[in-house]
Amino acid sequence: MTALPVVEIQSFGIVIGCNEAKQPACLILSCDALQEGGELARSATEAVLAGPDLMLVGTQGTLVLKNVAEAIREAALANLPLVVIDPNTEHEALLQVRHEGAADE
Amino acid sequence: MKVLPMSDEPGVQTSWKSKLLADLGIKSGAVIEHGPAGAKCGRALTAALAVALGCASPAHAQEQANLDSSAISTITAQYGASVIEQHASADKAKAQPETSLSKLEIASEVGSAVIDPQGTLLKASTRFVIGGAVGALTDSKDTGEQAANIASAAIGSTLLGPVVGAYIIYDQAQETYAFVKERQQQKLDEKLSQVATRIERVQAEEVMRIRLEERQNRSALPDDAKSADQAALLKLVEDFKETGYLEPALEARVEVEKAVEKAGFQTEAWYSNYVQAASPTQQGGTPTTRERFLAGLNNLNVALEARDSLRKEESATMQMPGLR
Repeated sequence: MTALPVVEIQSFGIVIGCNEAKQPACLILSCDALQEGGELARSATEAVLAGPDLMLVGTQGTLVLKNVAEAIREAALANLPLVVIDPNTEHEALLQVRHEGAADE
Repeated sequence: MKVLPMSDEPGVQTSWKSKLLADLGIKSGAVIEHGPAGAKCGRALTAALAVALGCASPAHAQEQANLDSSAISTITAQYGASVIEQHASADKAKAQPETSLSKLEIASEVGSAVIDPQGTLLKASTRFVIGGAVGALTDSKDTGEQAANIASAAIGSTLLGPVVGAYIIYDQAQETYAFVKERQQQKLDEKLSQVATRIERVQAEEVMRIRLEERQNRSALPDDAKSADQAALLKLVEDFKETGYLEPALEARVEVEKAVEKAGFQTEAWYSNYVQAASPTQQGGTPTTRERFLAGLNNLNVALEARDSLRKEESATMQMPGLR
């Protein structure tokens, strides 16, 4: 069995989505707003916050978003879900972000 | 097949919207760029978000994402005190003081952005968005105008419904600037009113000082000059008693004497006459012209009122004779 690929990217964009009251309600990632690994993001079934990185783990492999901004980390730690969208394929998925550090403790 | 927002081919419009985002009630968002190609990603993400929120058709989004200008990339909010400070220092030469102040203020608060203990996370996020907007808008002298351009470029002027980051940035930037200006104006007004009060007080004090100095000088005058002055003042007091009109010349002297009296020193001779004339309880003695005039006026009024009431009674009697 071949190991699933692990792609690490430095350049990407993440949105902190806000509701009508302008309160952050989720994180949003678009598959076409990544340096690479859009396919991996689309297939992701799990999101894990590991230290400064956000990992999207899926059936095709793992996409590692390196060094996410502190705001994103804090949003994830506050249990905001991650919505992965892809307007091109009309794909969307809601992922709860697991905190790797918290699980280990 | 749907169009890639970043593709070069013209797009087929669809009405796809993200149901998940709609369910979460997402109306706006702050785009956070990461890495060296972050601006490009941020642009693409903004376009994707515009589509997902139903603000733009894919074709429109594509058009916007392909814009080479820095307009859309400025939408992207860069997070972090260090990033914003970096912007602030890099653009210090260009930035106006107000702008760089805003950046620094925001930078100091960004740290607490997402860490609300209740998980509501809010205030900060709006600040955070502003921070991004202000931090990113480095080329424009007029942030409001720039933000307006971004908003129209990102979501189009005819689009209604939910908004994307650009709108919230525009909104918040406007509010922030309005607030900053308002606060500055308020401070300025406060300062001016303080100064005005102070100037007024200093003026009053100075006037009094000069008058007291003049009084001092008068006391050093030869006796005949002094008595002429006293006579002139007594005449003014007499006039005041007659007409009730306080001459400015007399008024100034009265104020000086009042101050002198208050300080517990000997007042000038004419002043006691004035006090007596100004006192409302003038009993006995011959009535002055003014008093006579006022009394006459009063009598006239009483007579007129009496006549009016008499007329009313008469007319009532005439209209309803049967009541008697």
